[in-house]
Formats: sequence, structure tokens, C-alpha cells
Amino acid sequence: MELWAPQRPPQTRGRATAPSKDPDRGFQRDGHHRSVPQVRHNGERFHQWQDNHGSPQQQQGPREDHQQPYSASRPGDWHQPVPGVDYYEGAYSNQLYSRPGYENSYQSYHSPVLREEYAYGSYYYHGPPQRLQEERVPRQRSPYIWHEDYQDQKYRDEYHYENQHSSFGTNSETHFQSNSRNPYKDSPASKSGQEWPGEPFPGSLPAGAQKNKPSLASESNLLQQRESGLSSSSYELSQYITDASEQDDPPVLAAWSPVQAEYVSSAGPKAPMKFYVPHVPVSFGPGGQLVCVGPSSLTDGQAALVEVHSMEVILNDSEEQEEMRSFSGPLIREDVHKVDIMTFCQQKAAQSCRSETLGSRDSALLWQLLVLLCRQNGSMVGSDIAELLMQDCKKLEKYKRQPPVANLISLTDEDWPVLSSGTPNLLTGEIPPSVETPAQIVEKFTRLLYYGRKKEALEWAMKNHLWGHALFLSSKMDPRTYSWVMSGFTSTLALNDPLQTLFQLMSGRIPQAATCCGEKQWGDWRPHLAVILSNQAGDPELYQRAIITMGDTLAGKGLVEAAHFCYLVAHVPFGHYTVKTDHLVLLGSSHRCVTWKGNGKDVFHRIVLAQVGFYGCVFHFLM
Amino acid sequence: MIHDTQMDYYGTPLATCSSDRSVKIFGVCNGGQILIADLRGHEGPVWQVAWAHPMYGNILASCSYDRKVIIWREENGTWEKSHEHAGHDSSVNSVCWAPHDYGLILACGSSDGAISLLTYTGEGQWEVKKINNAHTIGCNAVSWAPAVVPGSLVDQPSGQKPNYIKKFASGGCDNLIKLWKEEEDGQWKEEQKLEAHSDWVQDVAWAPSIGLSTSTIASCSQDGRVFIWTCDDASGNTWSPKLLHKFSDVMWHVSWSITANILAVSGGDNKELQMQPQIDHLP
Repeated sequence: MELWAPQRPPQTRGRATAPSKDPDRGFQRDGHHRSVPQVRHNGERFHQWQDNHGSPQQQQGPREDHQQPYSASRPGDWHQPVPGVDYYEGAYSNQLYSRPGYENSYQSYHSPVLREEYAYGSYYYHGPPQRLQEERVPRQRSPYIWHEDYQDQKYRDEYHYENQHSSFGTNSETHFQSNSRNPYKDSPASKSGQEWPGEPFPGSLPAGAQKNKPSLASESNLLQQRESGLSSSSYELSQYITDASEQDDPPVLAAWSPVQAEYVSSAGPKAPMKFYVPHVPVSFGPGGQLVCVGPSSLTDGQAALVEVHSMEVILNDSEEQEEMRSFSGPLIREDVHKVDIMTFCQQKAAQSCRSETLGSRDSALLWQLLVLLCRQNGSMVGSDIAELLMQDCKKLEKYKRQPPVANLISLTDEDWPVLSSGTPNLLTGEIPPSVETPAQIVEKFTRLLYYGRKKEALEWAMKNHLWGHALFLSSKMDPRTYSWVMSGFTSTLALNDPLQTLFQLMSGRIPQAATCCGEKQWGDWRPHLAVILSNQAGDPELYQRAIITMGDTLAGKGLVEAAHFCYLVAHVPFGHYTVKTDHLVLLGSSHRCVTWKGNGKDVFHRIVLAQVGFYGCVFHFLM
Repeated sequence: MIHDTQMDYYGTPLATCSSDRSVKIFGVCNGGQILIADLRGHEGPVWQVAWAHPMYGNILASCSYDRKVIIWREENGTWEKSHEHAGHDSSVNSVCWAPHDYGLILACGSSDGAISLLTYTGEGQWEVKKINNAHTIGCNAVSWAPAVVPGSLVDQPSGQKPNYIKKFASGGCDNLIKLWKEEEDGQWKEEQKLEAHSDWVQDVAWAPSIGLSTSTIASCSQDGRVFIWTCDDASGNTWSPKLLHKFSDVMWHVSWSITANILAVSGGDNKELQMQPQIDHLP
């Protein structure tokens, strides 16, 4: 021990300062030895380590100096590639310091180092424990950098600069990249017995030290690989060990490539690594999660971060999210209260009213219908819906007959000429009689009947719009006359008059409105539907057919919401997507056109509409 | 370095695999996580993990640089290696389970250019089919087509068992994406070659489908480009690529959301983003 002291100072000295006892080389070794710890080429040493295996024993002899753990066989060898002594030296130091961190173990333990050693424990140093203990002392670093050319020369080069820069206390992971065999691994002695050598590995590891233990067990296969003598990627091993408890990023990637290459050579044909730089694996989870690995480039010892994001959070500010949030779906009877749905529908209706797009009024109407459906649990009475339909018709349109001449009653096929005084009738040339008072008209009507001239009486009455009299009289005559008068009457109405619709329907025909509505000049379809709905007497099938026809017409004009309104009130069953003749498949969407364009919000809108539609209708079907 | 993270079908266990040769399974709940298992068995960095469908039990496949594919199974709460496939000559880069309707089939793509398909035939036995030289230089990714007949959503239900045609896509170092189809005799044939990338294709992902007549595949590559390929006809013959974006660095991963309208991509500049294709890509 005492020899240490003097020898310590001249660390960089070469052989010159060999103490008396030991041959130069020993001394040199010493120097080397010192330097070795700092040099982190632990791994490389290992190859040759084995050669030197025996050497320690030899060294035991002249132990007293502690200075020569090196075999005497290589005095000055230390630069040579032959592992032997050099390694030994390294090994010697390895025992104690073989890994860079090792040196520090006494001071500041560097787990990574240890790990490496663990992994590679194929070599071990049988150095006597005491020596190790003694070795503890000389811990200084020497600036000496060990240059040996092993097969791993390139490794060394890689790490050289790192080593140079690294101070004793800083074990960056790069150190570990050099192959480091764990001399202790195979050494039972080192593991057992000496608590110090064995113990540091598990024990001195900082923090996660204990966790390394499990990794030991599985190292055997690694060991075999390592022992094949090829340099292996120490980074991998260190990772392996490092990662015993956490997901770690391996040592600096810069050093990876060459290391990788080394590994490859041992693995077989060289294959490119799939991921050779840090990257972010990402995948979706089934519950709306996004799993990704934190993108930071990790340095040693840090746990990689795996992040689980909720998609909802990510898409937080998209419109669809807003819509989705406001919708309290799925609409299960037990889970959702009617009131919620109604409120939602009302909101939607209000929203539709506000938006000025085409058909928005109709979709507002549809939403309102759904509200009605929900409120009334599916039972719909015509007059309720009519009320709904007419609520927006603030003023009743004046239904004028076409062409709109500035007359109260314009001319159509049945020209019952207007009562204008004095102007000659262009067709007949006769001058229409002057306007007579209603009393006079009736009087003339009566006079005609005195003489039994019913037909002329009727004509006179119709001409003068004495419809009541005409209709009564004709109703008591033959049916043909009656229908003649009736058609005369209805011809005075505008074609798009809802009254026409009603009369036609009540006469047993599909009203013309059903086939003509939806057109601009026809006017609003809603009063027509209202009038049909509220006055359903007689043949219900006719009424339903009329409404469906109206729906078809509206759909044909592209007014999908209006059409669906009609279908709903007509209790048309929901059909199947593929059956193109089905009227209604999904509320709010036409199934006849295959592609629809729309943004996500629109899509969502439709989906919700459909859902609520089903919900509402289910009520009805159950009633 | 973690290379892959996958959640299983139900979203609770999260499997990760790393360069440290381990595959770890975590239970993730309520913001916390617990390590359920740490599976060791690989001798090289593990590139990818894939969960099989839960109807077959808890099965996880992993592939690694050590040329092996290991299938892990959970029995009675403990995870064990169930099967090991070492039939490749080089690093196995990607594994992907087929849709459960086809049975328990695993496709593995490797750097030796071959793709092998492992089919579980029962009682711990796996039958292996190999497609050699699928891609020159190597295959980087495999992805199965969903078990849906295109267009079946809008067709009348016929009441018979649908006739599935097994297909999968693979991306390789020859810059190509190849679509493979299984013929009636059980052999796999290359059906299509999709060319658009100018460098190694790193990942392919076949979008999940609900039965619309369009099929969609996403691919990303070393050249920084992400393409979306769509095929509108049910027979799957004409694929048209659309460049989603060209990034400045290599793109590593593409992954579809369950509803196939969001695509997550991540690339070499360590960023990851999601792209939401416009609706008119996907009618």
C-alpha cells in the first residue's frame, strides 16, 4: 500500500517511476492502471481480458505493491494490441473501476457503469478482494488516455472524445457504449464473499439499483453472445439493464450507429435497423385515446414518456366537438330524459331558424315536429301539426287566380267575366250588363226560375257569383249539373289556394297541390299540408296517399327536410337504405343520392336528427 | 427508446416495446399506470407489438431485430412466451394480426424481404406460410385489410356468410406498397403494386371500414411524404394516391383512428400530428 503513495503522483510517468520492487512495467501498469479507470474503454479491454485472466493470480505474488496486477509478461506492452497486460490493467481497474462509474462507485456511484458490467460479466477478475479495496484509494484520474487497438478500435475512437471530456464524476452513458464486460459476473467470489464487489452492482446503483437484479438472471443469453468475443452494443445492454424498471432511452444515439453495426455483425447478415433515430410511435386506442411516446430526445437515465391523450381533449375546439357535447346521446329511454331531448331539439330549431340557408326553415320545422313528438309521446293529431305548420305563416296569402289581372277575379278557362260596366266583351261583343246590386241579381235569378229556366238561372247566378244559390239549386238537380257548378265555383279559386286542396281532397281526389307544391310560384307547401292534416275525414288512406305524394314531390324538388316532415306525419315507416323506393330511411338525409357533401358539422347534425327521429317514432309505434 | 405502443381492443392494457429488448405491458387507468408484465425474450430491439383480438384470449405478438417473432399469451394472470418464430434471416420489422374473422393469423414483414404468415391451427401449433422476396431489400410494414366486403354496408343483407377475400398491404425498402391477396388454393399472390414514394416505405396502414365501397390505405415513407390511397370500386383494382403532405423529415408511423377519419402521423423531427382528411376523401 505504501507503494501507492509514491507512485500515485507520477501518474503520467511512464516506466520511469517504477518503484523499486516492481519491474518497470509494473509501474507502468500502475500508471496505466490509474489511467485506466479514467479511460472508459472498458469494453474493449475485455476482449483481452480473458487473456489476462490468469494474470491476476500471478500478480498476486508481488502484491504487496499492489502495483502490479499485471502479468509480468508484458512489460511495456501496454500499447499493444495484445490484450494481456493492458487489459489486465484495465481489468484490474475494472474490478474496481472497470466501468467508469465504477471508479466513482466509491464516490459517486454510477449505475450505468455497473450495469454494463453486469451485462458482460463474462470476464471477471479474480483479484483478491483486498486488492480491490486497496484499489479504491488511487482513484485519481489521469489524463492518460488509453489507446489500444483492439478490434474495437473504432469503438474507442468513438468514445474517445467522450472519455476525454468526461470527468471522473460524470458518467454519461456514452461510456457504456464501449463494451464492458462485467468482470464480476462470473466471479462467484466477487459476488459472494466480498460484499464490496458484489454488492456495488446491485447495491450501489443509485435509485433503481435494486431493480437491476432481475436483469441479471436473464443476462445469460446475452452473456453468451458477448462472450463470443464480438463487440456488442453495450448501449443495448446498458439499456437493457437500465430499463429494468423504467422505459429508458438508451445512451446517446450518436454513438448508436457504430455500435449497432457491431451488433449486427454478431447477429448475422447486416440489416438496417428499422428505427435508427428517435421517433414517436403513435397509435389510437379504442376509447378515443391517442397513445404516443413523448417526443423528447431522452438522455441517460430518463424514463421515456408514454402519453395517453384523450381525443376529446385534442379536438376540443372543433365545431363537431361542440355539437357532440351538447347532444346528450345515445338516446336510450332509461338514460335520457325526454326533457333533455326536447330542449336539445328546440335549440336546434332555434339554430336552424337563425341560419338563413336553404331549407333551414324546413329543418327548423322538422326539429319542432320532433319536439312535438317527444312531448306527446308519439301520438300526433293532425290539428296539432297544422298548428305547428301555420305558426310561421303570419299572414294568409291572398290566393289569386292567375293570370293576375287587376281584378278581383281573373279570367281562366271558365270565364265568368268580371262585372265591369260598359266595356264590351271582346269575344262576344256584347256589352256586359251594368253592375247590379245583389238584390237585383237575386231577383233576376228568381225570375228565371219562375219560368223554369234553371240552366239559365244557374248561369246567371254563377256569372254573378251567387254561388250559394247556384250550388243549392244544382245540388237538387242532377249530379252532372251539380258538378258543373261546383267546378265553376272552384275555378274561381286560385289554383294554389289551400281551399282548392281541401275541396279536391274532399271530393276524393289527390289534390293538385300534392303534385305541384314545392315550386316557387306555387307558394308555400305548408298551408296545404295543414289543411289536409286537420281535416282528415273520409278515407284515411286517401289522405295518407296525398301526403306521401306531397312528400315525394317535395323530395323530388330537393326539399329533403320538408319531404321527411310529410313522411313523418303520414307515419311512413322507416325503410332500408338499399331500397330506393323507400321513402324514408334516415331522417334528414336522402338515401337516394349516394354521396353527400358536407362538413363534419353537417354530418353530425344529420346523424342526430336521425337518432331523435327514431326515438320519437318509437314512441308512436309503441303506443 | 420505445419503438411502439399499442392499446389492446378494450383500451386497458398498453403494450410497449423498446430497444432494451423488452416488451412491457402496463395497465393504464385514471391517470395512473402499473406495470403488469415485463416480457423478456428478445435479443435485440423490439420493433413492434400487436394485440390479437380478445376473442382468442390475451395474446400479444412482438417482432425484433433478432429475427424472431414471439407470441406471448396470458394464462391465469401471468404472461408467458407461447410461441417463437425464427424463420427469418434478418430483422423482423413489423407484425400485424389479421381481422379476427379470418382466424388467428399473424403477418410478419422482415428485412430479408420476406413476409411470413403464421396461422394458428390449434393446440399450440402454428402453420407458417412464407412469401419470399416480397420486397427487395426488405419489408418494413404490413397491415391487413378489414374483414369487410367493400360495399356491404349498402347492399341488401343476403343472409349468407360473407365471402371474405383476405388481403393485406405491405410496404418495403423498394419504395413500393404491395397488396397481397389469398387465392383459393391458399397461396398468396401479389395483387397490386402501388408506386408513389421515392424512398423506403416505413409504414402502411389500411383504414378500418364500415362497409362503404371505398377502401383506403395510408402510407408514409423515408422521403417525408404521406399518401392516402383510395380505391373506389369494390374489386379493388384501381388505387389512386393523394399526397396528404410532404414533411421535411422521414415519416415513421401512420395510424388510423377507429372511425378512420383521423390519421395520426409521426416523423423524424420528433413531432407527431394528426390529420383529419376532408370528408370528401372519404365519402
